[in-house]
Amino acid sequence: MKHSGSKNRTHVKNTHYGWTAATIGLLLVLIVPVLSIVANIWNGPGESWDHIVTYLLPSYSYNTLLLILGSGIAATVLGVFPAYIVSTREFAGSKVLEWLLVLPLAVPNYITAYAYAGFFENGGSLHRAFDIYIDMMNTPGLIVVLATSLYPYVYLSARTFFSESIQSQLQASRLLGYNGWQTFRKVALPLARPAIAAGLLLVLMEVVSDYGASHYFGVQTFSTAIFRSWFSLGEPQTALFLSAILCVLVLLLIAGERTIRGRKKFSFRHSTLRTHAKLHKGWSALISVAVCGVPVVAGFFLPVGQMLWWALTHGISVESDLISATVQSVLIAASASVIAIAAALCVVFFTRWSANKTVNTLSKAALLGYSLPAVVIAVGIMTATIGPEKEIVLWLRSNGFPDANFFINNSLLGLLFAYVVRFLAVSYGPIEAAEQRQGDTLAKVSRTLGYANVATAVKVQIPILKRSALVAGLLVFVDVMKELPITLMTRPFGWDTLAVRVFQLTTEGEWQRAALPALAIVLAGLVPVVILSRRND
Amino acid sequence: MYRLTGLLTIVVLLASCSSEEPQEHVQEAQELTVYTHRHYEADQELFAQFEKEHNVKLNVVNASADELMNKMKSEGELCPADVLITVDAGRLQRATDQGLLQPTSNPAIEAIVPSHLRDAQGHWFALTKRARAIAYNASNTTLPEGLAIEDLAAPAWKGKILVRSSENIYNQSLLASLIIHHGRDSALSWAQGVVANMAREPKGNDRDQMKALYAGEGELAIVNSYYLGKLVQSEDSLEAEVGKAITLYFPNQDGHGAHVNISGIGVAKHAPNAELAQTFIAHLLSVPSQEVFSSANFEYPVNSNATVDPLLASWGSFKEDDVSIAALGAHNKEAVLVFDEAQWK
Repeated sequence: MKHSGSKNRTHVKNTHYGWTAATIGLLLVLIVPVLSIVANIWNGPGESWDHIVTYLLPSYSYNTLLLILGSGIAATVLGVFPAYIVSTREFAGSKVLEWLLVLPLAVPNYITAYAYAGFFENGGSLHRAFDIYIDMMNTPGLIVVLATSLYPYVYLSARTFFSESIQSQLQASRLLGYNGWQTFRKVALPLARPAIAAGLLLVLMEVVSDYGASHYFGVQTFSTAIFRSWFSLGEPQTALFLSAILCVLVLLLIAGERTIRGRKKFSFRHSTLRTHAKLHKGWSALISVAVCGVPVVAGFFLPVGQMLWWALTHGISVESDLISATVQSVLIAASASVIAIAAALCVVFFTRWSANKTVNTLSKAALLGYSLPAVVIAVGIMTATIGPEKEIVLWLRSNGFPDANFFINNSLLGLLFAYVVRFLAVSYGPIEAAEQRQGDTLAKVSRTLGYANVATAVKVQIPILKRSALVAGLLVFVDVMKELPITLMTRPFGWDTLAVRVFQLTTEGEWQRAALPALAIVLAGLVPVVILSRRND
Repeated sequence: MYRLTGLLTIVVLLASCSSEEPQEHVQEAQELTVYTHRHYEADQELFAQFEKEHNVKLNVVNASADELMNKMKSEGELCPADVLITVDAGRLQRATDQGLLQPTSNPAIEAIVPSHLRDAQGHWFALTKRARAIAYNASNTTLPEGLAIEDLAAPAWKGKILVRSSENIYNQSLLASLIIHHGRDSALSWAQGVVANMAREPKGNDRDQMKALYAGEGELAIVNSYYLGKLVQSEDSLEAEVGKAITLYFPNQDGHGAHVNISGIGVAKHAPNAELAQTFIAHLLSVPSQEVFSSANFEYPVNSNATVDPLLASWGSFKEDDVSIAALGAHNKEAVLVFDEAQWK
């Protein structure tokens, strides 16, 4: 690393190799688990491959495609319209709705799925109250569940864009005579394409990797094929081969997002001008409330209401293990978010400083962790680390440390590493988008004034990225709170998070008893959401 | 800021000093690491009891059997697990085939577990039994006498059968038993027949099948016995109502008997504490423990001296299919392949 500003200025080219190496090193650590899975492409599948291709893949891939299309479109609609409305209009309740719209993020997909089934299905709450029921446990039902619980990713990145980056463009459009709808269609939407695509990518990656909700609804997806070949057929090799194919599929999605983002680099002035928005009343306000209210009710109040009802029928009593599970979950989630933000900042800046196109492309591989079923990540990490780790432990044991034991696997360190690998995409998305928005003018000015790359980042760029980093941290925190498969597999003894509690109870269909820890997950997720919305004002 | 850091350092130092003393006492307690697929309250109760009675600290790792087996394989000789507990025979057999379990010879344990419920070399032992039975609503349905599970493929049941997905191990083990009794071809045409008779696409768990049954979506449901117990005892009034309305029918009483699967345990290949592991197994097989499994989790005890929970007893005794559990495990994969061919979701 160079610290001398003047030296840096004169030998800019030389520093690139250092940063290229640093980026590649960092990426290697972060994507080793994924790489160890992708490597299986060359190993080929196991003996049941023909069977899987004949009987499973056609319908499973078709379902996955339906889910991608359906949830993608629905999440975009549910996210973009409210984002535009709350960024450009004021009406009774607009301030509240602005942050209510984020809340579904705090509810895990699988809990939304259970709650929807418990509410709409035969024998559910709706049935008991009004004697009607709706069949939810099918592909359309799953699309509704996934879209209502995942749209906030689109909403967040679109809203940040609408309200921070293009207020002046929107105002200009209005001054030039476009009405609200025309401004939306002809100015806001085309400009927001990259921001929407970034949010949508996260949605789709979660859709592709979902197993809990689709498993319960009986919808068979590509993830099902991975689980089935691994667990039912006992062929990890086939499962890893399928995971590798899934990685390729996700790379295509990422490439798609890049294409949508376009070759053109937009650089917007950060402006929070939101002057004199007209206060809407009457029909216009009512429509706004409806458009913003539907996603909130569907994604938050309905599942949470159902869980509250379950919790009440069970009787609310806060036991000590619920408290300790909450404390442990919050600790783990908070540490993971800090690390994930740091890792994302490093990837973004190292890549930028290396100024190398190949490295830039490679850095996108860090996003893969988010798209694979979490179990595959957990196993990938184990496969990648346990060999060398075993050697070290054995060596230590025979060299005077008989009590030496695993220090990555089955430890908090390993658990946090796994989370970062899995959720790097979540922290990387907002930070990278913000960094791109920021453009390089400021950095150039700073360097002209004699600051080195690192100093520029720390003193100029990161402070400006603070809000995006906070958004990133919030997303990771909430995601870790909800995470289940990695936690189950890699947590150290005695670390029972809330999600683990929920899992233990729901696998046996004990919804009533699972409701309280599930609500605790939601509550813990709400805290950062509220903090964030406060900072906003 | 610096003061705060200093303060923190002192606190941490103090904490590390004070924690040394009690550690010496703790070290006297032996440790036993349990890798388990089971996540029932009954187990936690029994584990706590064992810790107390034997002054042992149990480390429990809870995940799906397949994940645990993969973990054991990667951890190799450093694997901390002493025992592996699963909820079906197939996984135990697979673990045995992969060399993850060690043979145990313990006369006391062998005296309790009948030979068809354990591995011949002692790689694993059954802890509890679960019957795969037919649930129906006696107020509006009568089942013909002498009904066999094989009969459910007949066209007479078209649109009437509720059953969960073939991903479920209990269904796989049922089909494996049919493969053993009748061969692959006839098992395939059975599965195809049942798929054609399904009242709806498979979804949800066994509880959901019984709720759908109660709501009139089908006439019979293929379910595990212990789920009915859970419904009857449910805090949810509707679930309890469903539980009370449903009757269990044990099929194949005139033939090979109703299908039974097990939840079982084996000592890990590299168990640091194999001897203690045997004590642990004996604890779980003891009469009081077996009665906890039966009363809290509605499973059938393996220990014949244990009293069956009154609710289970009220369903009546029945003839069990005594096909070797090990053979079920051996045919598990074939069963999955047959399910796929039959397009049983």
